[in-house]
Amino acid sequence: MQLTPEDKRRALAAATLTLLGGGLPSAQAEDKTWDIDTAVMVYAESDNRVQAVEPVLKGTLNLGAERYFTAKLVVDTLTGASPNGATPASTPQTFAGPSPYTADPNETPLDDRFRDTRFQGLVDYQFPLSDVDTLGFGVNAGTEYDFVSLGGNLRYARDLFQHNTTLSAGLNFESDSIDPVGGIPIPLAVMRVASDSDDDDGIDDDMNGWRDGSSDSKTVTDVVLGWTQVIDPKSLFQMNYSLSASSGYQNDPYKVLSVVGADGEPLRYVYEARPDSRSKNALFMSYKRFVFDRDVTEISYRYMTDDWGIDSHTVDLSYRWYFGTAHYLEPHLRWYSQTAADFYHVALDDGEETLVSEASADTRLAEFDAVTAGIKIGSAVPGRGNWSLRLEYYQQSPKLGGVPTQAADGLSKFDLQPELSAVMLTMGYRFTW
Amino acid sequence: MLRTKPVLITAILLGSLSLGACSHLGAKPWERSVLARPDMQASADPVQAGLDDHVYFSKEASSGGRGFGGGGCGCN
Repeated sequence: MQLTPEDKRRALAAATLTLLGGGLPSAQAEDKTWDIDTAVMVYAESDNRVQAVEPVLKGTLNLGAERYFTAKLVVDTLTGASPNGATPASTPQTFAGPSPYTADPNETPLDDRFRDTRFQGLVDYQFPLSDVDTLGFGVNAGTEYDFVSLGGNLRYARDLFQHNTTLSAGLNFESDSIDPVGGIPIPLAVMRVASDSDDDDGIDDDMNGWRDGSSDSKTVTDVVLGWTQVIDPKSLFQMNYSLSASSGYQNDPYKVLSVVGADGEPLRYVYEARPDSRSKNALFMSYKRFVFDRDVTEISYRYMTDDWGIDSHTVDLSYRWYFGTAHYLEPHLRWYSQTAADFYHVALDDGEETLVSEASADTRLAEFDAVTAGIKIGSAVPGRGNWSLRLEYYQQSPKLGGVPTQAADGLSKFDLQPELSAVMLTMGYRFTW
Repeated sequence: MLRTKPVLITAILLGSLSLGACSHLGAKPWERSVLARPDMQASADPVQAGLDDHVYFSKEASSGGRGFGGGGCGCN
């Protein structure tokens, strides 16, 4: 496909805006064509934990004159089990709720009711205001069994210095509502005991008292400021600063913490309690270069910090090696490291639940390192359908933290932070219609 | 934290202005054939990048960077 000078000139601004919103295909010259981009990801965690199949269909209609309409649909089917936050115990543990479940002795308690189908769709429109200004806006909606998300975004990009520099700004607003099975639990309230009759043990067996209401909501506002710079005819640098401010219900309503005795054995379970707001700041940098007149390599780094005490570093490396005329192999490495949230506790000492105002045992808020290694093979023939197949392995290695002091010895007999590993297989096919 | 935001924004703006103005940086319109390649776009594969973002959003405490990081996902 032959690119017009106009396409070449505008490619940078368009690509920059793509990052912030719905996206558009690589520069296209022909008017009124659809660029169809499809993919299916199969995600499988070890030990029969979460399994997911996620197909995506995205179509971008090139309306000519640099105007693009995009529609995207994502379906995500989840099954399997997820840690509920409780620590292992020497005896079987039964967790109450609308459908009770049991964890074997010395095993990390997994909530095996984890089953959901998510639908997410978006529409987006992007058009030039002038030779150097581009505007885009989009709306999106997502729904799960107990969750609904609605959002909208507005993006603006301006080219400077003969289209070698692009500055961009984007604003995204999202409104979420959550309606968990059994209602919203009161933070730090004691989980009722399974098969326990309604007695006067102080535990609310009929669950009337621990529900805070049937549903709750949160809003998320994102601001992204970007700078993309052509370094030379073969390389590109990009830097983004982003702020994400979230306000409202931040808890995972299905997560609990174990309150343990000095022997490390659980006395009871309490629902987690996170702050009702979160502010994240991130700085992202990427450098992309065409090398050996054949291959493409990219390195990126992201630093994120939030007001929950979490700092993270992400380094991502990829190298696309072309063999033959239009086929490539692309090895990929990603390294990630985060510190724990200030209120992360692997468990609580007896009585500690009345002393803290915030606590969570969610492993996603713990300190850990993670590595992703993978390889992708694909075709890249201009003007023809291009396929790709990618296999990746992800491993999370947690670091023990937030151990209750009085129960530290008692808990030491358990594996409190088991590793998480997952395999991801992604198939993609992209064509013009 | 509050102090770092204006500093970052200023650095981005100043950096872009100074780099953009530098005669050694950039490419002329007729030098852009490589930059126009699909695989040289800043986001060469946005659909698969979106799948990755969803996995990492639901397994890690960080999100965003390349674009918006909200998620639209119930996986708090």
